[in-house]
Amino acid sequence: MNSLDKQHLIKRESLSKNQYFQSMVQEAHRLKLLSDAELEDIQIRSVRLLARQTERYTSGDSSSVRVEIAQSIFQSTLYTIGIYLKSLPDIDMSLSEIKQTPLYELHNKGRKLIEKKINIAKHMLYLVQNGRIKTDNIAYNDTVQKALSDFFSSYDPDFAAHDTPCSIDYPLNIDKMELAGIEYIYDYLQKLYWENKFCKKFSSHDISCVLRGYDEKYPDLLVNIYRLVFTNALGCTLLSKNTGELKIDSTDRRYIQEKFEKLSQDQFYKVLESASIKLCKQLEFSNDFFKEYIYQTIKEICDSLKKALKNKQLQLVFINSKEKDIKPIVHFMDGDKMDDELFRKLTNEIRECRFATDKILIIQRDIHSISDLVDVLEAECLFGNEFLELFESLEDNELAMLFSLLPINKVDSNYEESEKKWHVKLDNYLREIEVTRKSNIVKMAEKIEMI
Amino acid sequence: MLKTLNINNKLAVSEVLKCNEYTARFGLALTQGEAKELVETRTKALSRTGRIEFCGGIIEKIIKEFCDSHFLYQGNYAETLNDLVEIFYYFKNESLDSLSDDELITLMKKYFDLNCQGCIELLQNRELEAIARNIRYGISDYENISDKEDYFEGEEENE
Repeated sequence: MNSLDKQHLIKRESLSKNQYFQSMVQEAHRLKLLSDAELEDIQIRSVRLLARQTERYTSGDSSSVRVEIAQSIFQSTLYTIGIYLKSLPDIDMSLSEIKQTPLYELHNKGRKLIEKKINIAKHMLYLVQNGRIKTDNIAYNDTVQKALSDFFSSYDPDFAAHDTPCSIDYPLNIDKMELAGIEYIYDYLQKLYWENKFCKKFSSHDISCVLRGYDEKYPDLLVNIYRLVFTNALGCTLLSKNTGELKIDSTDRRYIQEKFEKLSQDQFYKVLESASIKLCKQLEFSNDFFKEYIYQTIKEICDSLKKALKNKQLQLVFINSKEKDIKPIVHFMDGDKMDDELFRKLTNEIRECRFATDKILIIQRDIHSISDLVDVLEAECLFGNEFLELFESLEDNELAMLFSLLPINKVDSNYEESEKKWHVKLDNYLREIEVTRKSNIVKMAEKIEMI
Repeated sequence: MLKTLNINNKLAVSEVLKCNEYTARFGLALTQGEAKELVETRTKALSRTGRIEFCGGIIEKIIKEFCDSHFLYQGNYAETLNDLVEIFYYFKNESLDSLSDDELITLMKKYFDLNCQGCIELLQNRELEAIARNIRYGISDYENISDKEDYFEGEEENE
């Protein structure tokens, strides 16, 4: 049966998601749904509400606040009203609420909704933490274990409801960042919950193999795990292979290339869509939210796959699984670290030396651990060519030890200037030495594992 | 929308003038022009210190707290009030808003009458600066400013 839907002049989709109230008032005024007088009335009522909230903020102790604080309270107040308005079934109802109901009542209703969302989000965090994937990816682990919990301890729903006070590093598969405050966290947790649930259908070993195939340095990368796992699982479904292992090899890619190369974008999308339906059935997913999330994922994958097919670069999309290389390992146990006071005296003594040879003699006589040696290198004891002279005096295994501590990216801004200095000097020194000696040092460094 | 916030200056001036009834017993009164100037001083001080005020009433509180001071007389009354209003908002910021309006006004009055003997410069640059510094350093006994000279000497020695 056909149903008649009421048409609204203001489209919900056209309104800002994190400044919902403000954008609705502006849009209503633009479309003459609100007169100038009504707009002015809303503005005055908003300022009155701000005054009330500011008084609550200062507990009546202070009649004035800094402008930044007032702005933050104001944004928070309007955000809270926006949360309530979003919960109403249509825009007309929202507008009549704005016109007729006192703003503090709308604010109170929004505040109650925020409280509900906080409680649900806390429960979702519990589910996410319990259902997390076992992975070495630092951003994922930090976000799931710490950053998300930090949000709940720092979030101020009364006076900074629009704020998201935590640093979430792990990127979601689809995260448009339109939301703010509790709405953002709620949305983030919901998506992460389903991403985890999907990934948990595969073994952590297989997931690690896909991530390693994507990049050996995957623990340090800001990469979405679900996207890579889902894409390979989808590839396996296209190939009618067992999705369980997520393995796609060059023969598989050649098959996909030949079979789908000539399809148009729409045809290819249909193929991916039916493959995803099959995949969902196979993995027993029937949740509507997650199905919609998968459709959005397919839209994005479809574009990159089409480009990869065109350029015959399917290996960039369907990743080769890669097992961990088992290398012979040299375990290194560092010597005892010097006492702070003693170390200070020693560095002063080194700094007072006029010649590099004397400095090196002291270092060789008194430094007995690699961590102390690194501290000396970073303590402004050596200058210019003195670094090279010190490196010259070190054995190959000592140089290998230092080399193993070098970061991959030597210009990384996270390092202090003093750290960067010896990194660069050692790198320059190794460039100057004989090639075979250098490769021996590098090989030795790769095997070293600190205990 | 913040821009729409217009403090009704006329109303504020009449509120200030009402205080004349209270201060008359101390032989102090503001003229219409002086009250207007005082309200303008507050607006400028708020803007200079990057603050916003909703309910007002600070001028009245300062007047009622200071009017019994021995160091106020009709000749310096209006000028001192203007200075006190400016100092008030400046030290709200300097003390990181950790003092309530009443606490700050009470402190100002106490030091104005005792340590500063009615000298606004001393109140601002010596006493309140020291108190604000103590507050910023997280010293709970922030009013203990008697040993500030030792503190500065120690700081100079360290340098």
